[in-house]
Amino acid sequence: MSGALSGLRVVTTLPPHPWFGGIDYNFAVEMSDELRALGASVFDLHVDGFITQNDVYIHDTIQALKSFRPDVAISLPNALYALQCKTPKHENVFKDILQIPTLMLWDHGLLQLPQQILGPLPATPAEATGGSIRRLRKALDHSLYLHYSPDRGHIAELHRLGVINRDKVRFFLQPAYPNYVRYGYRTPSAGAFRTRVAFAGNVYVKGAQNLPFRNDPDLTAIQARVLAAKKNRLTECLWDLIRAELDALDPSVRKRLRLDPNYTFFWQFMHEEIETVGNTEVRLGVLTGLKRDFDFYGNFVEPDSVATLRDQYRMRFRKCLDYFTELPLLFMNSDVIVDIVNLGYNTGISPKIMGCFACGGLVLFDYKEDFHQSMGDLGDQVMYRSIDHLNSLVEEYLANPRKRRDVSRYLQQRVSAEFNFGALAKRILVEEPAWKK
Amino acid sequence: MISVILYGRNDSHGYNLHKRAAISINCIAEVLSDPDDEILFVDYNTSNDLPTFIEAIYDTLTARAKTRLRVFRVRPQLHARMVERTHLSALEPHSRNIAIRRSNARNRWILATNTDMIFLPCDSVSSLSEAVRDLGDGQYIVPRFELPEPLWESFSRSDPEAVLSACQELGPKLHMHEIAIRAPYMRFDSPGDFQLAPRKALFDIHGFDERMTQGWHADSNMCKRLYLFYGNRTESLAHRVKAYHCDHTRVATLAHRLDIKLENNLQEFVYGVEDPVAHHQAETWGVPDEKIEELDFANDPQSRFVCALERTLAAPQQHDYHSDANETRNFVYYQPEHVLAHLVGNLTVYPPDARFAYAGNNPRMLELTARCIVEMGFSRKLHYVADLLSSSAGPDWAEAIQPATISDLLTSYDLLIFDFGLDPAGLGLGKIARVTDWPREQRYSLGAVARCLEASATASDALSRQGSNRPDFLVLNANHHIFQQFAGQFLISADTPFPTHVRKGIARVGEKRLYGSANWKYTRDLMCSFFAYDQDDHSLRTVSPGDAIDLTSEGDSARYKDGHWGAMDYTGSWIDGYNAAILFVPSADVSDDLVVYVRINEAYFGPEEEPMRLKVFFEGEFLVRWTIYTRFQTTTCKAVLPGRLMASKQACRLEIHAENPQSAERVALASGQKLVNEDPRELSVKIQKVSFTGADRLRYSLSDTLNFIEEGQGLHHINECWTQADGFGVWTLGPEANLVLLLREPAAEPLIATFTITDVAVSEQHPFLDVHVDINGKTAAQWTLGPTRLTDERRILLPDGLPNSDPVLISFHIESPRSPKQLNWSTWDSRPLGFRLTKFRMAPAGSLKYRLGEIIDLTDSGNSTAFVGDYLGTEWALPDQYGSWTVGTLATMKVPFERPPTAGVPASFVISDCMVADSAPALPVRVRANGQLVGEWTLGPDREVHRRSVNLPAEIVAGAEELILTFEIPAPRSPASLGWNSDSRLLGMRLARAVIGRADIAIPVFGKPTMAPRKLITRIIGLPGFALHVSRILARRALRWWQER
Repeated sequence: MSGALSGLRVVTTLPPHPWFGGIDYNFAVEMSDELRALGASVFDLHVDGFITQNDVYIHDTIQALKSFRPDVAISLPNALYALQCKTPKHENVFKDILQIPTLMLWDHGLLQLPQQILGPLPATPAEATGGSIRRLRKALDHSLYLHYSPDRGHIAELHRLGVINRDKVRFFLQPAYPNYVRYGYRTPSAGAFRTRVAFAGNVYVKGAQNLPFRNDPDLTAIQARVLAAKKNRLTECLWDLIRAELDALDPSVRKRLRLDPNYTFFWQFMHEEIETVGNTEVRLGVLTGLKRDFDFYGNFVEPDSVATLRDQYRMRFRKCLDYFTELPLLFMNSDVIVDIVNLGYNTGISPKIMGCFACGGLVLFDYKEDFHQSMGDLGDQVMYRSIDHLNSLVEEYLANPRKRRDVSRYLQQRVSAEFNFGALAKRILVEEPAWKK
Repeated sequence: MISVILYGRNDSHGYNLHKRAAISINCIAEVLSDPDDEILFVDYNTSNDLPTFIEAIYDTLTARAKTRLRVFRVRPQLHARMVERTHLSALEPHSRNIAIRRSNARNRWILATNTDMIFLPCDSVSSLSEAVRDLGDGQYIVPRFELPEPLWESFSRSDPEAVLSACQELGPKLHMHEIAIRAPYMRFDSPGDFQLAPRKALFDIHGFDERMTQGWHADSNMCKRLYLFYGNRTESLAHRVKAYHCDHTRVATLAHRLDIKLENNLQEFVYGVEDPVAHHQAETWGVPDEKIEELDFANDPQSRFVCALERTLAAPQQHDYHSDANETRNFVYYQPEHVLAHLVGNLTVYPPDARFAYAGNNPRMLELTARCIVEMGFSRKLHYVADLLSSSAGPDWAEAIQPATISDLLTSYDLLIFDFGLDPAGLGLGKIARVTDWPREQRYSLGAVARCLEASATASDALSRQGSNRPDFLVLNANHHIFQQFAGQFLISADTPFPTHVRKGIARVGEKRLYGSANWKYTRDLMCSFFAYDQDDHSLRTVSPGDAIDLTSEGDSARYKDGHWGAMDYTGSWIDGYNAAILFVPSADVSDDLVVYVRINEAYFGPEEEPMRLKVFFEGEFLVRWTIYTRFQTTTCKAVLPGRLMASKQACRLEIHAENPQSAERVALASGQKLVNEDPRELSVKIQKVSFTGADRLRYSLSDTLNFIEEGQGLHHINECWTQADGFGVWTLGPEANLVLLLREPAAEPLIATFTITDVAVSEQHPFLDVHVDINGKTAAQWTLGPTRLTDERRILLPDGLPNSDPVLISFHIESPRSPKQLNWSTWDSRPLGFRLTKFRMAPAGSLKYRLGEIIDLTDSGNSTAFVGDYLGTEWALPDQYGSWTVGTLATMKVPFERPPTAGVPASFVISDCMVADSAPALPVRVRANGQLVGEWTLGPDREVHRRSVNLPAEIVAGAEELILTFEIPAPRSPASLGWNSDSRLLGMRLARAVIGRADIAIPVFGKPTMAPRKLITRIIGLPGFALHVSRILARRALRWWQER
């Protein structure tokens, strides 16, 4: 097959299919298929056999991989999975056995990578252990690992913490996954999930209430101050706000709570505060500030919380959508999608944003510098800096359908041409092949 | 006299199509009176899945209409061949030409009209036939009067006489008659609704112009050409016929929109026409050489449907059939007699010469289908894929095929029938509790059907890209559960009602194809689990030492599995039921025993948290019982497969019987989950791998030390009642743990087994752990472990007769195992632990009899086991290089004499330490021989190595076979109490050596041999290196501190 990646022999990772509702698996399959469509010879490496340390599978697969003679590996859909491919002797298949360059595409790596590498993270400060930075550096800083992050903020922070030098991590704007690009070329099924204003995503109402360190008054106070700060400064990332709060702590308290990056509890605290508490509180804060009625889709993580959303927050919960077949239709058939980018991102955006644009939707989300830098001033047309700003943008787009079409079409064209996974693959494998150096 | 030409398709075009068409056709038939008169309806491009439009309304047509009607079916394939590009689904010129070509040659006139027209002969004539009988050649048009929707909808569609009367009466009454004129060649508006011309003239001008594929004006074109043909004349027949049009624009079709008018070019096809003859299509108009399918309403499959079913089924249903739309137990079964009607109901839309093929392994369904196809009048027998029908020979009504390639299958048939049902006849199955109650060959045959379906769907995509015809697909028993998901991956088909058990569709091709999503992976795994979907060849494989069977979805275990194997995923295969078997062919070159290791990575516990109990049988013979104590921890179980049971066998069966599988439904309900449907699973363990080794793996050479830490050789010898090994060893799990050894050579002398125990499940509340040790069923020792958790060594002198050539089975019975949770070591770990074994060694014990004057060495390299072995760990501490401490208030030494003393003898001892300190400077010790006090010592305040002696009087030892020396220490002390360390054991003195029969005993040099003194120059030369070494250590520590700070 001819194509931009013709002649390349690539190993890709496929995550265990039940994980995260199958979403990671599906993404990886699609991305892998996209590489094939671009002409690459692809070896799909199922990670699940490594997770269970299935020695028969591991042995056979390594033999097959050696026969395949790959040029390069790509960890799909993100860098976590390449790290999982270890033999019973703790050798990594890519860097230790095949010794091939491995492209590590991060998602929100600042939180995910420590969780994976240092995990299981302790539930309380008392269980914390030290040496986190060294372990992170040891796991990530290898000459055969070529890191790519969709968040300049993450790159800077991990550099500052001494985990990995900023020169060793390349930036990419999170791409739209192939499925969403394909939907962009389709006629939407008329009326499917037709809405005026909608939000599609997750909140973790119960999870945020049930954190194991909830009972510590110091930790609870930190959380309260951070959330108050975020409310006033919506565009500042939660990571920075928490770090500032921790820096201002009395050193003895900080030491007692093990809130130092070198301790494992720090990473647990940051992960839970940002992913669980932040994503819940900040999203609910923005959504309850919306003046327009909106439909709430998603929440597949906590289906039991639907009643709380309905009764306590007065939200009109519709249903949990399939990420691959139904969510694109919601994007395509909604006048405006409102989003609060996963708070795990500091300056970058999530794939959902790009997916929405790719299939022709219009999503309004909180300001992210990386998106601005890549899209230019027009990017500012879809980013809000406060809840009032969001409300005015919603009204503007609802009142002016032509503007809505103009902006969404422009962004759809940019995403489909420049910021989809195929384009990213061409860039990192062929046009800027850092792995060959 | 007259052939009336109509066309249409079964697509609900416009408003209330069925009613207006029935009114129109019935009314037209009502005004035809000549015996040769006919109504030709061309059903153009109706989807192959549907009956023709006329069939759809046939029940509403009058008998008169039915006798006049001839229906021609132009299938989509012909449409695609005839017309390259059009936005229209039905093409007027082509339809009408096909009808004209095939009209009754005896009829002089052709009337082109539409299925929304009502013709009312005027007073002077009684019928349409009469109205045209005396007309001269020419083109005749009549004006069209519009009937609003409420009016014609009030008519009875099956009563044309009443409709005609109503038109006659209401036309004037309601002021319906307005004549709209048009250009002279058309005469009136909408001439296409009554366009009468001689048949011959239409043949002369080669019919309607088939270049007109964009809609509209075909009638105008014909008007213009006939006008030219007849010398610039178009006649009116308004004086004899009134034409009423049933309006239907309540729903605007694409043809009736004013904003988008897709139409043929008026200039080209009407205004500019100068030649009436369509020379360009002289030979081709109306596809004269094409055999157009003409419906036979008396004898077609549709008409024979009921009769054919009755004849095929013969006996009527005697009782209700029952099925369950949530069925997950016996979901491979359906009632063939019930399903037949729904299956063949899908066949009536095919032409009588249609070709059907069956891919399945359900003889009953195949027989019924084949017979019914013949009864329905199809001209070709049902074909079946012979390789897929393994249950029995095919019926006479059907014909076996062996397609060389999938492509052959696809290109040779119009419909492929895939059957996911099985026939229980003759299998004696009884009540089916789970799908695996079906024989594996039956189940696996469905995997072959599934593979055939997948291959067919995949090949359809290739055919589609080539533009070739593709067959339809019909699947039986794919309305729920696994097969529904499976079929959906490859087919686009409607979600039909469950009781039909039939879904018809087409293969997913092009963009409609689905990638292998997580949902598909889940379905695929289940298909592989139960139906060997991933494996073509199920023949048994030869197993040799070193082979392993991967029971995860990454492996190919189906060929080995039989019985109650449940769902399989990437972590392993569940045993779901009571009896799961592994089948294999023993390697011919294996004459010895095989050891099978079964790696279990999950056990399914019920609400009571009882361990899972399994029994293992090989070739029907009970081998061993396994007990699984942990839910998620990996457990490796072991069984020795006797070589005698494998000798000369072509197949062997290793069965795992689950004694207490747990109902998934019960567990779910107990944990507060809500269940929507029944969950019939009864789960026990999930197995990741079964591996085989030679018995050599269990061989043991005397004096070897077995290690039980990760990857240690000792792990091969333990049974399943141990935890996973870590860097320290393995813990016993539950009350019965064991290890087995096959001695490489029989022992010629007594043996000592030494166990290094590095931890015990004890705490302050539970300070001791009793362990009963059996060797090959005989009691070998009773241990009391604890209260400390320090490294301990226990030695057992093997009973007489052990070991022999049989396996040595060392069993540990733990009276009361305790969980880390119970001991407050953990908040969650509920594993029932006993002690942690780190090393094991079995070595010759040397002479077990004592020769007077020999030294008894109580240091760790000594020979004291024969004399203190039974008390080691309880009364004597683990020996070290300085000797062995007494533990507690009593320490015993048992000395069997080789030759009993004849008189009194002295006994001397080297004491290397004692529990004294400034705070407790004296330690009293009483020494007894065979119960008689023979000495009283007070040790301390020094802790120096020293000698002590006692005399053993003749009345105690003379002639005695055995001497029992006891050291009583009324006030033992712990090192902790003396502030030495944290050791809480109550110790007394440390004995290094003992001798009986001699008063003298030498004090040994303890510990490592001293090094030869080094010369000063050597020391000086070594200084830089030493400094470097020290600095490296310091630097490493500093670096570590820096990183972890």
